[in-house]
Amino acid sequence: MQQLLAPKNFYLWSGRWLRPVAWATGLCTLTGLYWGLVVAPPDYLQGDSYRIMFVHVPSAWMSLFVYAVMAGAGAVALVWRIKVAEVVASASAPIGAAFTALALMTGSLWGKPMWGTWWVWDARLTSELLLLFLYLGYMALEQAIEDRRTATRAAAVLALVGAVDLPIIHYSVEWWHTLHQAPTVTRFGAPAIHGSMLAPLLVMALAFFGYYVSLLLVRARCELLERERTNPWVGEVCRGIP
Amino acid sequence: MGGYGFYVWSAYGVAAVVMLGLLGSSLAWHRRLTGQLRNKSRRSASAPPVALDKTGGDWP
Repeated sequence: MQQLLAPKNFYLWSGRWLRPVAWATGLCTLTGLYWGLVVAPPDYLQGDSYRIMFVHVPSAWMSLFVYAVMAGAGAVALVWRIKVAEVVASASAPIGAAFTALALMTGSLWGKPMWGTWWVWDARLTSELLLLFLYLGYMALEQAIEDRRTATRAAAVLALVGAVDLPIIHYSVEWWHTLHQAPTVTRFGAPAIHGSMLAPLLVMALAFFGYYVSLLLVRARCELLERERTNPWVGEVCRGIP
Repeated sequence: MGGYGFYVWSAYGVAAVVMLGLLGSSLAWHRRLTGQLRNKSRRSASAPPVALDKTGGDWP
């Protein structure tokens, strides 16, 4: 574990894992798409419009998960100054922002036919929009500071302060009366969603998770190369010398 | 899609565009960086330490 935290080792290790993770992700994506769009039956109330769920819910889950990883890695970077934690936090931000934007856009596309409106300023939607601004603020702050390591540490403070939004998003549908439905998968007891729809949802969630891991590895490797470019190992691995 | 085709396909379309776009730009970033750093490393590995020549000094 300790050895993996050395930038060069992390770079080589991530290079080995990238391909298998990417293949598994591709397989999950194809399976999930076929299952969700073709095999799963239409909903008795929402008809086929509910199929938006298979991209909307995984995006929303990942928007929270990636933020938690970003803030967690940021905290590790602040306390122990581990370079790999710094690049993980930094590399996660644009991926999380993309998931958040997707959750909002696909939600809007689902809201129009089901609620009759693209957008309402209710607790769930507004707190998720705030999450997008937190991601964008994190990225802007990182860009604004010249020194990469200082930038990551400053942005980590923002990420940690913003982490208060995560429980707000999760519990918003229970704390306030909102148009958005309450959770159906993560509640205690049996999920309030039928197995024929839950299974493709979980496969798609796995695909989104794999997409995040693959992209995180690619972007973290780029960040490492940029930050360590004056280090001899960078030249060596780029020339294929192990 | 039971009359909801526009909304469903738009949702999947926008997801595909955003996710493939970010994937493509990330892979391109890695390719560009490794290319740059490989060239830089080759140059510094093959070039003799000429910098010292210009200073005169005690370089033979």
